[in-house]
Amino acid sequence: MAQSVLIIGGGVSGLSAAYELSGLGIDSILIENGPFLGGLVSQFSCKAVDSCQHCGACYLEDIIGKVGASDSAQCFVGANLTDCRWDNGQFHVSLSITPQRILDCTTEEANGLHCPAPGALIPIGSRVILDERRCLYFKDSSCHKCIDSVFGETLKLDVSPELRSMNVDAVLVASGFTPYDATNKPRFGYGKIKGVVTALDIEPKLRNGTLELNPGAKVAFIQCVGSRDLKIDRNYCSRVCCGYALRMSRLLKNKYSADITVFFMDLQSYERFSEKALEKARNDYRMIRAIPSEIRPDAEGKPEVLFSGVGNRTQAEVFDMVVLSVGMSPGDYKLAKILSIERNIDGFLGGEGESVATSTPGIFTAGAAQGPKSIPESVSHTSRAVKVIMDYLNQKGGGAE
Amino acid sequence: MNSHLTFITGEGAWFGERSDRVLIIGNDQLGAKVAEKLFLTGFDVTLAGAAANGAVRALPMAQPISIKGFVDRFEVEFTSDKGRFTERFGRIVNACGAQLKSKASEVGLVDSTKSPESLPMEEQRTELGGQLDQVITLSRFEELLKNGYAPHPDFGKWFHVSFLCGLSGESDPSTFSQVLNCVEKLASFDRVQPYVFTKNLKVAASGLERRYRTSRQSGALFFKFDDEGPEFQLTEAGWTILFTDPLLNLDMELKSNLIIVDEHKTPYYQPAVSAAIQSSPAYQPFSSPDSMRFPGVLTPKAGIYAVGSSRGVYDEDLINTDIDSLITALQMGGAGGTQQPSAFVDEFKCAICLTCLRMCPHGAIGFGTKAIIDPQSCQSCGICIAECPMKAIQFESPALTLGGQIEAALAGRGAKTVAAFLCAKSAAEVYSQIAADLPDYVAPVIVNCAGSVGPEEILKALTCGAAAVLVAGCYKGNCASIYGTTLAEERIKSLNSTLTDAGIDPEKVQLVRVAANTNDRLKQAILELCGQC
Repeated sequence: MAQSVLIIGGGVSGLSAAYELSGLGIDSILIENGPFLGGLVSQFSCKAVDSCQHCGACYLEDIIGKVGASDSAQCFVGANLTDCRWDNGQFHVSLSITPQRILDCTTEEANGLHCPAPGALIPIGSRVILDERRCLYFKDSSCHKCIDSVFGETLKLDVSPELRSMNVDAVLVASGFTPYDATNKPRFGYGKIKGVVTALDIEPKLRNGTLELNPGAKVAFIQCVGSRDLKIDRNYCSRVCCGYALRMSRLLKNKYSADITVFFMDLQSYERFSEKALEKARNDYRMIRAIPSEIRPDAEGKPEVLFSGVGNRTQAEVFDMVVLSVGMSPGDYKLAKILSIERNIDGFLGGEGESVATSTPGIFTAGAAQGPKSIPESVSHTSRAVKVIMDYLNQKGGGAE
Repeated sequence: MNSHLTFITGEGAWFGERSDRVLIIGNDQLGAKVAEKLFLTGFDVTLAGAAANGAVRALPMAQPISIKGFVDRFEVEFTSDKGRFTERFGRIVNACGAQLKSKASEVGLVDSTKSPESLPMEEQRTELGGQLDQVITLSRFEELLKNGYAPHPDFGKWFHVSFLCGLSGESDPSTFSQVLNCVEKLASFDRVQPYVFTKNLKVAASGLERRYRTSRQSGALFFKFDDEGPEFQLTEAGWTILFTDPLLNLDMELKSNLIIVDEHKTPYYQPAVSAAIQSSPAYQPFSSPDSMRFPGVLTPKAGIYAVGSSRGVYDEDLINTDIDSLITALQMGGAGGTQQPSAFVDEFKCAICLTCLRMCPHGAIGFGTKAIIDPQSCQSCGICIAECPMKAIQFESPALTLGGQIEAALAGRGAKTVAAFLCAKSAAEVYSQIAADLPDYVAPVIVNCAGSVGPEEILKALTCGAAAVLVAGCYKGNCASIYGTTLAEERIKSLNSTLTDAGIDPEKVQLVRVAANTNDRLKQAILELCGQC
């Protein structure tokens, strides 16, 4: 019988692992706690303007197709790991799998429902899927809008999760990161001041073309929100935010002729030819080396940004939209507990540096679950994890049988 | 299978026996490291161009000058001190380390560093004991510290070491990490004060922010500049650094015992590797394009891999990741996985004009007495089929040629039909998502690459009754065939006058570049064309 690996997380890392393992003759069981595969990347927009900006987001569609075509990778969405025990050379794992909550309607019809929870209703193909993790009904039963609608019948709210258990030879944690919660920085007024958004808020809007921005609008990016900040115990750079902010700036400038200002600490390189890319950024946008101290609403309710300007004097400037470049925070702590694996110095799952091993033999981490990584870096890191898993399985196969 | 196909796919018929050997092309320790790691994993490894560690077979003086053949059957010609020779390999890895160029002259300094290789061990030792030149490069200083160099402050005085990092040209995390390596080492000496002059702290790699803060706490001084960096003045006592403290806004003058300048890092240009990877002029000096179509260490040429600087990765941790992911790629074998039927050449039609060989972005075509397509390397993009003037190339299957597919897609359609050629790698993916929102007179024709759509196919669609034609391919820089969509774009442009002469509005033939996640863009492009019909 082929050896098998449980992959936790259906984002780019988990999917690449499933694809590579299947190429190496290893069966994989991939579980994704969301209602669809793809993880956060599935909400990212393409940043191409005249040419590709190399963000890597469309790799997801590629890898989903490859995993779909493979016989040896089994994927479960809405699935959570509830228990993991070491059992005679294998891991005995218990899963809880919730049925997909599907609204049988078009995107337009779903928009007509005016769902109050952003990101709870997700159009996939010709259907709309309800994400329990964001839905207010599942949170506190405070909203019944879609349930009461004519499309509510297909939601299968009365179906309870299916419980399954199985034995696997190794576990790969590819559960990704959690975007930093910007409400933890009340001085930026996120969630209070209209016009203050996070980059991840506008990704899906850019993707489906629903971002409302007047031509020539003044847009500010604030970098390092939730990164490089000892006060909140983030003694690391999230690595990807300079890249995504500058790519997004390019897209906003191109699509909406937006007038861009970027508040930053240090600009990180994000392309092979970073010199050219950063030079172009300096020419096309206003780059200010200062992290604003506060955002307050002006008389019209627009965000007014206070920052240390020329000669260290506090300056105030009003923008149409302020985008907070939220950093990467460690993901699922509950998972670490179930698997009894330790977290690294930055709080991410697994070891230091770019390692893939964890404190428990047989359990490995890959991608942004282990530390901040771009999409291409996550994919490479996953290949590394696959190599180390293969070493482990070979050794184990030789010893046990 | 037709009898004339044996010539092309026949085992060993034209490029010899299969080989499992792996060739690592190196120029420094990186090559040695990659070779050793693969050797220990059980690969039959040969390292060329650098000295090897342990029992690894090495040809340190050999330089590859030509790479012929395909995955599993490469034939590599070397030149060395012993003359020319040829060996066979199954896989080839470009593991050449970065080329370093001192930035000293760019900031107005003259550095006296000799390249470490040119410095014999004897001289290195005297240098360790004696006085260093005031200006040296970062990589040299790092090496000196590793070999036991210790600064000796004059009695009662401090010893100042200034690092210049990214003052000219952008720096990168790997360089900043080198600076921190040195600063951390210097912290163990008494009365040594490190300074770092930079524009942007490049902390975007694991652990760097933490290390930067620790260094700062232990006394290293970091100065960041926006425009005007420090100036350097040469006096009889050596170089003096003049700068305005960006925080205090005070003019400062620093007589630094040592000035350590960083270096530009660029891939080492390996002509034989570049020549073997057909599309490499599009992304030189790198061995692979900056594209997730070729994730990790893969290059567009099956069986050739790029590790570290040859694909723009300089950070040590990330290079180690590359080496492990290389092992996964090698173990997965195959060409990196096209399940599609590959193209084949009809030897009775082929005139060996070699258009296909020149146009294939994946380097999948060779020639003997006729053009030959390697089925493992072929990515089924169909560019050769569109380019072949003799119409000698077609896919093994499906039974329908592209012309046949067009006929089938347009059969029985009304006069308002829009034919949409959709790239399977991008537009077709999007189409499946948006099809429900489109009018029913859109006739999709799925192609493996927009580059397979030639003038003939467009004219065919028009004669089969399409009122307008859309070719939907990938964005520049994201085409899985590097320049496939660009080829389609050029062909459409060149069709302009033909269409006008035929009384067809050239605006009715459009190209759009999309990605697999740009639903709106494709929808808009299709609807726009529909509006014109």
